[in-house]
Amino acid sequence: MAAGVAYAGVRGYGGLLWDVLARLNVLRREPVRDVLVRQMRTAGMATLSAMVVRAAGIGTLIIAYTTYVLAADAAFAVRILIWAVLREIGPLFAVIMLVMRSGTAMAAEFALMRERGELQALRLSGISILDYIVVPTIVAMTASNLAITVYFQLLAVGGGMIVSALLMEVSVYELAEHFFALASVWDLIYTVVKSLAFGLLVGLVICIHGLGIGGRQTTMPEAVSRAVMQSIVAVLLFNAVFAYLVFGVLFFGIVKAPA
Amino acid sequence: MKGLRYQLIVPTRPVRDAVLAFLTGLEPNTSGPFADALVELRDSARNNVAIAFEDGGLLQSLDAWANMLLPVMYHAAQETHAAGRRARGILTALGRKPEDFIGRAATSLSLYERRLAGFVRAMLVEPELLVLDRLFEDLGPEERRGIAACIEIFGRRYPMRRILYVGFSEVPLPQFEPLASPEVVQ
Repeated sequence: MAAGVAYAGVRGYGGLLWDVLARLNVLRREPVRDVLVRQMRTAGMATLSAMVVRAAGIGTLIIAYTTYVLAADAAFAVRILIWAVLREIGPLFAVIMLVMRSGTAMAAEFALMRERGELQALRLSGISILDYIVVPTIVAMTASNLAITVYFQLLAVGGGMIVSALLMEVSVYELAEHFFALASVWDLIYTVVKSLAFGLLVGLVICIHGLGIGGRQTTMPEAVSRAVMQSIVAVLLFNAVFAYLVFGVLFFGIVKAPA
Repeated sequence: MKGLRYQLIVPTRPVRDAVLAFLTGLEPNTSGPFADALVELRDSARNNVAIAFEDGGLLQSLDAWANMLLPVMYHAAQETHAAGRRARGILTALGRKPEDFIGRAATSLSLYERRLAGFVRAMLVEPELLVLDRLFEDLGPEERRGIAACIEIFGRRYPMRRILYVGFSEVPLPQFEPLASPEVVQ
């Protein structure tokens, strides 16, 4: 029964994703572009402004912990910064901020639009909800999450390096040298793919629950709660599966891919 | 059906919703004794139907002016200034200034203003069939006259196009003949 529900859910998300990809050309229409810009402002700007202190704090915390608890040298501290911030914490923290700051607001707005009859008025005016709301929202969430992740990583890595330089009596230049020697293009590709997928997943979940797509007609508080919880679950699941596919390990190495 | 203006008195909101959904093509089928008339109306409109909603059908996320231009810009892919020029023309004909709507939040409009904005929005798409959704109900006599003036302006601009008034009670509009009687609709 539960498996059946899960399968139906995945099929629903897959179907919506397919529809969105097939309808990307609607972004050429001016009203749809306006929605895209508005959603990017909601998703991106609101989250970016809340990011500075938190990002720099996390970078600092990781370096301080590595230096004092693990008694690491500069190269090891930078390696930890790359593993933790660039690959894992950066994309995860960014998407959680996106869900908390903007995802909740969007899900609430969509649910209110549904309750006020605005969605039905759009449909009766011949305006497709998929074209006018879903496509720009998902594109905005995907692009914004990438921007937020990059911004977070710059702040966390930059902040972490500055603090490391102060704590370990090494120059920022030396740390930067370690960073560019250890970080690879694959790290960059890995984090870009992951953050794009995270944004896409969150956009899909928020649209499905906020707009009540697929017959999920819920009240506004319920829609917001479900959107947030399922966004986080979807992101964590994807994170685990993606890490397994790329590195061959799951759950911090407990499950390993067959040789 | 030879006339151009009809009114349909519906007993309940679900019936009204079903009628609007059928006329706009969201529902493929309809039933009941008035079905033939609705099918003929819809077929004659050739998928070019616009509704002036009872509450304007405006989105709260857009200002009143952007709401007015939304369907025409979405469907006809018109430039903002071209659509805006036409909206200004219609509002001027109605004796209103565009400034009454530009930059104003949809929530700050009165019920009459919302209906007016909804009417202009529907008129901008130049529909073959204009559906008036309870536009006369819950308004004062002066505002009713304003709505009647809107209908006359639509009739003058598009003399061969059809108008269907859908409401819960009959309105004293002599040119509107009944599409179906209340007993029939029930």
